[in-house]
Amino acid sequence: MTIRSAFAVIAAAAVGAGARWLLGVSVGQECGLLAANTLGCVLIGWAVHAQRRSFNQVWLTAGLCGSLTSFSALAVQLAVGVEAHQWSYVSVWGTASLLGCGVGFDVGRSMGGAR
Amino acid sequence: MTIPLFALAAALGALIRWKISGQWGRVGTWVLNMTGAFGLGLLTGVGGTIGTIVGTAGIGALTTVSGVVHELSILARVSRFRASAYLLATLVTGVCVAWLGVRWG
Repeated sequence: MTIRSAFAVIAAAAVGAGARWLLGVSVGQECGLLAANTLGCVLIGWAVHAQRRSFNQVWLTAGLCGSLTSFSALAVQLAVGVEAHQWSYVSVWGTASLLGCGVGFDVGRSMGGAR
Repeated sequence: MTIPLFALAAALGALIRWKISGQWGRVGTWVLNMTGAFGLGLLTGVGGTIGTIVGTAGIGALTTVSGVVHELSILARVSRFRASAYLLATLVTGVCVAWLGVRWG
């Protein structure tokens, strides 16, 4: 962990978490989280295949993508649905998140030139 | 004051994740995701500035979906069974510990 990398991760993390919060307040918590998680997966798919420099990979993956996406928010969103016995809500958002992240990662890989 | 604290909490969460995932790999990511899911579940009723700083920024940045997807793509090249097991262990356990957090919170 170099000082330069640490500062880059810190700055990228603040931007990523801020973008996730902004998406949540602008399009709603569920849609915002889905958009943030999908976008983060597109970005990480692209970053790990297109960026060869380890410095760029670190701030993009650990900093930006890591903070833009949030597993805890997704888990709590689904857990609240489970607690309220809203099974269709849990199924829809769980499936949408899995699909969004999986497809998003593949789209990012393709954009990064992966075969 | 909220914006600097938000940035600080997000930075702290990301640095911890970077350090632990870097040392322990996917096990570290899994442990952080479970801890974060439980912690955020506990904070479900906490709104306002504290909820945003601690929950959205700190715990949100501590846990990751993109990291899990990246680790899944690496695991899937070795074994699809292990990748499926990791996905299942993350998703099912994560929702369970978050539910426990919501109930206890």
